Amino acid sequence: MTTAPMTSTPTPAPTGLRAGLKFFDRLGWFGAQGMLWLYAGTVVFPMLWTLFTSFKTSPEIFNSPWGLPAEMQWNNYVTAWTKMNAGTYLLNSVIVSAGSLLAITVLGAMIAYVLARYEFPGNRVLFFFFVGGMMIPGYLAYIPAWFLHRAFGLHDSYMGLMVQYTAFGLPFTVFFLHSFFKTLPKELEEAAIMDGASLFGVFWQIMLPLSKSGLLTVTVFNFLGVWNEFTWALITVSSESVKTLPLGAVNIMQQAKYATDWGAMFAGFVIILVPTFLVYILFQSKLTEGITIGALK
Amino acid sequence: MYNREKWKIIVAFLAPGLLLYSLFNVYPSIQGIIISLYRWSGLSGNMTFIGLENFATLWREFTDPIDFYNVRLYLAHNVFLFFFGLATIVLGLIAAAIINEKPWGFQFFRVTFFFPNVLAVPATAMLWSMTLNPIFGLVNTTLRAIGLDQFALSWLSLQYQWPLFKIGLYMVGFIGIWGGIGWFMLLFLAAIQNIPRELVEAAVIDGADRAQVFWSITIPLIWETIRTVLVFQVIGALSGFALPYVLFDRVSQKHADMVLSYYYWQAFQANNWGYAAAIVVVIFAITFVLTLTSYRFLNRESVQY
Repeated sequence: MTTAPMTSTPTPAPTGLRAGLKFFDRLGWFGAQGMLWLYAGTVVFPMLWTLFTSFKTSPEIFNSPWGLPAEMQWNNYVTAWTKMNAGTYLLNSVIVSAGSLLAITVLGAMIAYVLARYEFPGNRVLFFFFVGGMMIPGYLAYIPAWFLHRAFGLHDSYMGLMVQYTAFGLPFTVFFLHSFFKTLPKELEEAAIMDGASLFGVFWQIMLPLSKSGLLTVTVFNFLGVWNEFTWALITVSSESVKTLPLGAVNIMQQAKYATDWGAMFAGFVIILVPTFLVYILFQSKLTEGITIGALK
Repeated sequence: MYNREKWKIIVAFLAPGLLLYSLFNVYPSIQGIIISLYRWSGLSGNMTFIGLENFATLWREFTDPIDFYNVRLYLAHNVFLFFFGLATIVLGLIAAAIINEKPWGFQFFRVTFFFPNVLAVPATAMLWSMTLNPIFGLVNTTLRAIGLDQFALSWLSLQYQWPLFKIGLYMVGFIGIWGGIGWFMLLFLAAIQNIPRELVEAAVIDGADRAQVFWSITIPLIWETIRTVLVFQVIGALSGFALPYVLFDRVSQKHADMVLSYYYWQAFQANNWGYAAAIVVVIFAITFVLTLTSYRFLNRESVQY
């Protein structure tokens, strides 16, 4: 990856091509690169600092905010995990996200598949009915949804969060997978039916395996939305035992105001940041792909 | 036989999702508009139809603001932060243009720059409230270490006044920039990489420098993407809520609240459901109109190549 598209031409460059980059142009170029490093620093340093600080004692945090921890205070993590409920928040987030993602992906794939591969009256109408949901902001639905959840006894529960996240997540998922299923060749289906496969078998044994990469992209995309969702959770959840990580972050920050145990608080922050960081590192390319497609829909 | 199996699949595959989506997304969205026409507060189900009275009240609050329900001030906050959003787009574009030339460490840039975008808003808020902590925060300790003690401010204060707004609101803007650059960078980078290489090479051979290439080739050819993100910014302009909510306090904060915070307060703190619904209906309507106008306004002849 050493070719710079602007300066490497297959034909020898005429003299003066590089010299044509005037002195100020070059100065600006270095300045611009400097800015990039500066910004990268504002991303990396606060994270590293949070990590180091999470291993310090409270006096250390105040007296030597820059220094490395004199002794690793693993205890901070125990306190954060148990007393500050970081463990509960993490578990809740995992449960809610897993349930929501499963429901969104399964339901979304079924809908998208039928709408993309079967001709029947009302197909277009249904497609727009689903996809139109992408244009409606969630805040319009919050109040009636809140009452609906109370009426069904769903408020303040895992189930309530999962149901609502699925309802909010379906439009984009259907839209994305619809275009994906559209591209798969028709011959495969026909060949499978000739071989005696049922229509369900075609979906389950042929179409889904072929769509693995699309399913993964949309799942990673939905993961971010669900894992980070804050407003709806804030509105409906009040029990500590149901709170997800974003709500937990707020709780831990609230405690900060009266905190004496700053080290444990930083440890709580690290616990909140680590899962997102890991998913990001593992699925970086899938994630950026999903987001680019999502934005330019 | 085949036909019956086909219909079975259609119904079985559509029904569960359709039911869930209609009941928990479509129905509440429509209901959300309808209840804006009712007087309805508290936890009882007593609703009285009052036509557009909620909207009239909102207009009164807007034209004649009272201290605590200062809708005009909230809107001013939204507008103020919108400019930070525009700055984010510009910075993202610059970052993309530079990274596209693959400077040393460009892959590191790509990965680091996008990371803030995958953080939940509360996680971002918590990271920065610690970094900006006046006593032990990274920013102020750095400033003190290099002798700039007078600049070691109480960054997240909503009392300390900067031009027009409190310093804390500026920080909401800066944190927004910090969290958004990577996203724009990624979109612009994808667009720039679609520009045919020959065009740029031809221009360079003709003696164009980087700035000229940027203005005369890059910008016109990625105009479609620029327009899309500008429209995005317009759509998002009135929907900010979470960052100041988490960054400051959970109670209503006059100097940091935005229009959606006011909705949240009216709905889920004061339980004025009908009135709160009217607020979001207006937000939605304004957003819709602004989106269409900005889309039209930005609809330049797109360049073909």
